[in-house]
Amino acid sequence: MPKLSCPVCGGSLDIPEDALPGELFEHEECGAQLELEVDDQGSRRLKEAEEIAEDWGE
Amino acid sequence: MEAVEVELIYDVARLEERLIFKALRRVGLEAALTNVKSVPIGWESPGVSLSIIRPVSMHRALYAASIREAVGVPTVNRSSTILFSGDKVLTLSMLRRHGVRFPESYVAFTVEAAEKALEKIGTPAVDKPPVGSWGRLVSLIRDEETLRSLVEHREMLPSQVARTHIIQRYVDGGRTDYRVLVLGGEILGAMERSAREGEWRSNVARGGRIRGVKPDPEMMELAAKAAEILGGEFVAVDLLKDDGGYMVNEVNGVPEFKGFMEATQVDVPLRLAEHVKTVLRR
Repeated sequence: MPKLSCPVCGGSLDIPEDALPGELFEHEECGAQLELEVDDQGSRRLKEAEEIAEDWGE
Repeated sequence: MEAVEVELIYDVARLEERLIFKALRRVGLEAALTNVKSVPIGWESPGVSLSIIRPVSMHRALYAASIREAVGVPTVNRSSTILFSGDKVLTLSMLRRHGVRFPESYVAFTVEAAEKALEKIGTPAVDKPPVGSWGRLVSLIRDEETLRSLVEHREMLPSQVARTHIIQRYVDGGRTDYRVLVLGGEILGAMERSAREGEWRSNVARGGRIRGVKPDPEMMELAAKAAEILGGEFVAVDLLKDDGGYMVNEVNGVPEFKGFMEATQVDVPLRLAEHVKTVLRR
């Protein structure tokens, strides 16, 4: 499984090939909530996930 | 290449969005993803036949649906359903208009009004903001003092919505509620949610225990009616029960269903994808 680096602690995470842009991952080592970002060229990186906002829900 | 038939609009990809995307392909539909955090959405044709609206933010969902509808693309759900289910004051107004029972409730905008609402309802009561989910900012009020503190704290929040209080009779019912999933007017199933030890809210996000139940006719009729009133194609209806029978607590216009699938073994994304396919082939 491809590895991406954690923007918080610099460690690495396994991210499945078929993960969707915007999918959330928790980095178990440091506890960071991360989100997969895919740019127009298809390159992938992790960024810190957005904070839950007041209108979030179902 | 075959034209894209279905667009999945989302902001955060939860398990639900991943499963829906896979299910659309499983039933042979050409599906595309639109992440509203990455791309702007304009009032031009997106070249799709239907949009499934899944942002976790109510306003992103509402606006995305309204923009697609404006250019003639049908959406699941419609913007009106997302608005009238996303704001619980509007939900209750719609339910009342159609004679559907819900727990006695008042809306209060100030400490003074909240205290008067509590006098009418009595304790314990529930205080919740009109918008939000997963039990967030939902409080059990056991006395006037607690209510006053809570309203004063919420006064410090910048949002007018968070400073609006729905004060509602607390329906105990063994700290249990029922979630019924409705798709195209059909009942997909029902689950019972019970609050965990040390918690009064039964939300799955709060650790509520879940189990699938066979929906009884009253439950099915009420859930289908609530969905119909809000024009909901794919909604979750949360029901409470007291001595007078079932009543509607909330309707969810962008329902999560991970817990529901676990409890009922219903393949919700597959059913949704099949439903969308049927709608498109009509």
